[in-house]
Amino acid sequence: MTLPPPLSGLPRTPADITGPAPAAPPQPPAHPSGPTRATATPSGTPATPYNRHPTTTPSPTPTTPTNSAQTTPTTSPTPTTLTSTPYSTPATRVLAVDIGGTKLAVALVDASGELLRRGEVPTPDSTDGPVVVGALLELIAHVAEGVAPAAVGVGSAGPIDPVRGTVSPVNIPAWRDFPLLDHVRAAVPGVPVVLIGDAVAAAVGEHWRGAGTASTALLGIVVSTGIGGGLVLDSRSYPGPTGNAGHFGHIVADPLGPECPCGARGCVEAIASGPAMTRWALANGWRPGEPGPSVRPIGARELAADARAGAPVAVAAFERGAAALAAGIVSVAAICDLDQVVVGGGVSRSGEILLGPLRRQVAAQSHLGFVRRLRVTPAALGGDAGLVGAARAALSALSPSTPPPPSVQPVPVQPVQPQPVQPVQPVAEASAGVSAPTILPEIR
Amino acid sequence: MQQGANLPGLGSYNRSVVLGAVQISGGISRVEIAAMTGLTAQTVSVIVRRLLEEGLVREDGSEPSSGGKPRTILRVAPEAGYAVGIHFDPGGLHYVLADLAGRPVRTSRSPVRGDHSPERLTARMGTAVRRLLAEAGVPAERVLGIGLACPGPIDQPSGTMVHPPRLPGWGKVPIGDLLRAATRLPVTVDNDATAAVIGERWAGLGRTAASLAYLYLGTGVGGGLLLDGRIYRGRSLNAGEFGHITAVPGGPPCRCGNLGCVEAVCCPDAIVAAVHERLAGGAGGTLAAAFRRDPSRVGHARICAAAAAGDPVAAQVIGEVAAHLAGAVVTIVNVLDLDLIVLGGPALGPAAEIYRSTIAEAVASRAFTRRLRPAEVALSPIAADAAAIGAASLVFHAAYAPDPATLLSQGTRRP
Repeated sequence: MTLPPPLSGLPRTPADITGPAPAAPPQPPAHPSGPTRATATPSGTPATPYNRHPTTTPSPTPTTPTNSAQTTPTTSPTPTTLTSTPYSTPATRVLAVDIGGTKLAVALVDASGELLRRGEVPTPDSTDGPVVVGALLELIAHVAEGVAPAAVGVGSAGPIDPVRGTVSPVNIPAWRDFPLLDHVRAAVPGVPVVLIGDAVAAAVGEHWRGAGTASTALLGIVVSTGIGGGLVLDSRSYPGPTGNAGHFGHIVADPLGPECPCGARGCVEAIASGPAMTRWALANGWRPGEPGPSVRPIGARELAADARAGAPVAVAAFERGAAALAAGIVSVAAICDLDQVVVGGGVSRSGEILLGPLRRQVAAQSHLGFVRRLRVTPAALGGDAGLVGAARAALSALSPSTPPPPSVQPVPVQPVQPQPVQPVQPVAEASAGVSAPTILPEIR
Repeated sequence: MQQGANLPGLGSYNRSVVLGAVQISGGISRVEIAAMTGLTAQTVSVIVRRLLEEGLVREDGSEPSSGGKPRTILRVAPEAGYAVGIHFDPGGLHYVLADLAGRPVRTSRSPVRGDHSPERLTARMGTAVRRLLAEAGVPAERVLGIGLACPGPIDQPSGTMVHPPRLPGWGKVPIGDLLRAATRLPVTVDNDATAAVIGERWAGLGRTAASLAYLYLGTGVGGGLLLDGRIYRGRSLNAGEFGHITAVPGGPPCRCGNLGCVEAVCCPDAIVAAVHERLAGGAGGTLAAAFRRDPSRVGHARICAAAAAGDPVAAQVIGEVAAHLAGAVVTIVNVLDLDLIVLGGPALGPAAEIYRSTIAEAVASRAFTRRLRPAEVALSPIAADAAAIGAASLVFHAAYAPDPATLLSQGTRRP
């Protein structure tokens, strides 16, 4: 493997490299916060910081509930008949929750993976655990209003502890060993609630309904502020014994590379994340596109724009990032005998600027026959992959003895063609018809 | 070879789950089986009755329970069935007769001569198997089958070796069919590293770990994976090629075509080359004199022994190799979030503890999940025999262990 330009002379500011945070937009290159954590500033969201307290302040955005700031559902879904062995049927509705440092998203999902209702709010920028969970529970109450979901799947930024049901998302400092599942169980009582990592959820979502439906051994990677990964092995999600498998971002791509906050050197994340590529480009003479000093923070989006326009340093930054991603991918392929890698996350939206060099580098580093057959494809579900995967986990919890789709047969619950998920439905719109259950499309 | 076709549907699967639970526990009650497998007490009871009738399981004492009558302990009946494991390495043949509990009953070894054709070799294997059974006093009808562990690459379902690198001229050899013809016993073929991980699951450290990686150091570097209690083979049955994780970007060429693979910098040939280079450059130590007389006398086994005895040159080279392996293991742990890493294979030799401690330290200090729960690194207790015992275990594995394919093909038929 040859990483394009020299690796020395990189600025080493661990503070602005964050943990895996799939949907987070690129960070400004020099973040003011200390080395203790890297926040997920909701850049790209309204200029006013989202900082309300759910019980006192009216909702500032149309995507939040307009009344009832309580953290419990107003129309409490009373699941009257939960049999001892609940199976999912075509009429089953589950609740999917996606916890990220930038946004909290909740969707009501049917058994085929269709998002029936969807809502999201910016993750409250608060150090107060109850404030953050209050916003989440409010959103859950709103999305679940009038229906009784049969199970809840929660995909959360990690680290997570699925056994204890606690989460400590790097980008949500208010939550450390936070008993998230206890809160969700209290809000949606009497149904199974499962917790998986956000990157695992994204991989499962893409495998189920996205770009990876034909795969039996899939690595889903999320290239964003951090770099995360999730595995689907033998057509079923592989979260690992502690729920933290697929830690793609901390594979060492270059032992002599830049330091990573995790303590190692040359981790994939330390080279190929949005902030890492941006930082390298700036250190190597990249001058972000004119005109004038930009109000917006300079990040991977600007880097991609300049690379598309042919700026040599920007192009080289993506080549370098792609080489590191490829090194990690080829190693995982040798370990797990993958057939597909699905690339999602904010940085992947730069499209062929990243994927072109990535495919080239994977091919250049692949020599084993089975690794050479590996396909590298862009994600198809965008920001909804995590919700779809969390829904899948919830459905799995309903029928523990029904295994996930086998490799030798088509996925049983839905056509395998990738379909775009229906347009995002803001909660405000959804709520207009919430009282009438007929808004839910009939299952064929 | 998936047995139990006479018991259709979930019956055979549940049966293998129950037998597997008994086998792995070393002694378990019906109630514990139910708790462990998620099967109802009634289902467990019915299956156990059948296994008792067939003599595969026996009742062996009881233990007090919290109220109620004492619980009867079930164990496998080790003498109810046997399997022969053969590890075929270009360096030698190793035979093991193992009982149903996975314990080796009798072993033998023989060299491989390079001029053997596949037909002559398998005929010789057949002779050796008959002798092994006669010596152990085990009638052939008690043998459930033969497991053959071969160097890769292999086509596992058809039992074919495909152009093994160190057996030039072999091409595509249906070695399973040849051995079946020579012995008239069912034959299961797998690659040596996968066989070793299955052996570890049945007879070694894998009995208690749900997810483990087996790092196999032989002529090359291979491995096998046990994930969530199942052998994981991957899309094209090639999972666990740990030797082809990149250790040194842009490093020395590997036979696979890539640069700086773990195998290229960690295999015995690479170790010997590195030590020779340093000795030729004037390094001292206990190997220098022998090297001056005849470099070929400073081979891999001698280097490992010298490293274990503290020779500075050998210890430094082995230490560097161990560090490269450690980097690869950290990657494996990060990707798969494992409970246990087992080190095995003939190339560990006397330097095994150097490898173990170096890798354990790296996993404890660098793996991402280290604060949640550190992965353990251990030497295989059956290291010298791992592949042969594993080969024997292939028979039990195919016959009884839960096979995900069985589960999957049945799961979708739910009404």
